[in-house]
Amino acid sequence: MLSVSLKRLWHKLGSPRWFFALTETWVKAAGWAALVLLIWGSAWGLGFAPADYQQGNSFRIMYVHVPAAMLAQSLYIGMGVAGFIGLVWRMKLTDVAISACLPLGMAITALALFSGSVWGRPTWGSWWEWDGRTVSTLVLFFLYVGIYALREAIADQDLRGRASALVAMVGTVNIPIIKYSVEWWNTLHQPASFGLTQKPAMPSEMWLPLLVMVLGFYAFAAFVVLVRMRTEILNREMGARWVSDWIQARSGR
Amino acid sequence: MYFDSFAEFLQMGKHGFYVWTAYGVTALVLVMCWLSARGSFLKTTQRLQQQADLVQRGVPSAQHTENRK
Repeated sequence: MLSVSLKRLWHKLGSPRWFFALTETWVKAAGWAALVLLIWGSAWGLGFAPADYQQGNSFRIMYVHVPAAMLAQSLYIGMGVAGFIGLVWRMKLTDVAISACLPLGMAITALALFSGSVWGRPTWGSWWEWDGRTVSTLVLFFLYVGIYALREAIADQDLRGRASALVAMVGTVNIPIIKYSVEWWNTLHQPASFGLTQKPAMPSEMWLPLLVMVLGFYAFAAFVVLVRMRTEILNREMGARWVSDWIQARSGR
Repeated sequence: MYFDSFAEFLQMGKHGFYVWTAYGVTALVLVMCWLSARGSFLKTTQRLQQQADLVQRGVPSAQHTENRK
């Protein structure tokens, strides 16, 4: 009984139409949450958090660099998981998810590299260092670019989906490399200042704005990924009855 | 406010250039990500709308002309 309803839920989850209806309200909520959190977090981080006793005010770059780097990896993990599910259960929706995460992930990874470079100049004395974490993040960027190019090159939708799912899945080995790079190699990056079991290595006036910014970046990602997924669903289902019903209801408003 | 004056806030000690560059580029990237997602959504809904209008005006077989992009 339970397994039957679970199975039904699983199939529902893979249905583009159901997903489209479900996310109608989520998009707006995520968008507004992102706007509020990002403005609040930036103002707090830029104007109210105390300066670092060693780095001075350049440490404020942390409030955009750390969330960008976290999000760059999370979006890739999202693509890897979607790829795995798509390959095993043949869901339509997972390829939609990959196509939506891809452009955002690429841009955010570039942003993480750029903000790191701008932070590195006053802190490490150089725009670019061949540092373990920097290089593995550069590899992450090239993985995004590679999958993007792959998708552009393959015309057949089914083959494109399977090929990018496979590369997304295999590429996730890079994620633990980024994570442990600071322990495996000599590095200029500092080790994690936060953990679930330890107290943060900075005062709360410094890490609370970071928390707000991290939440803001994730809300923003949810917003953009949902908008892109919904667009892709409409494109793929064009001509379906429910799509023309939806557009009519929309213009009727 | 951590800073004593607005000028000091802009100056960020001696790191104003780096801090404002990082935040400026971040804002730019996020806005561009949003606008490009919004742009393709609007393009798609406009196309759907045109199709729906054709159907309403009774143009035959307009509904299934653009099944795949």
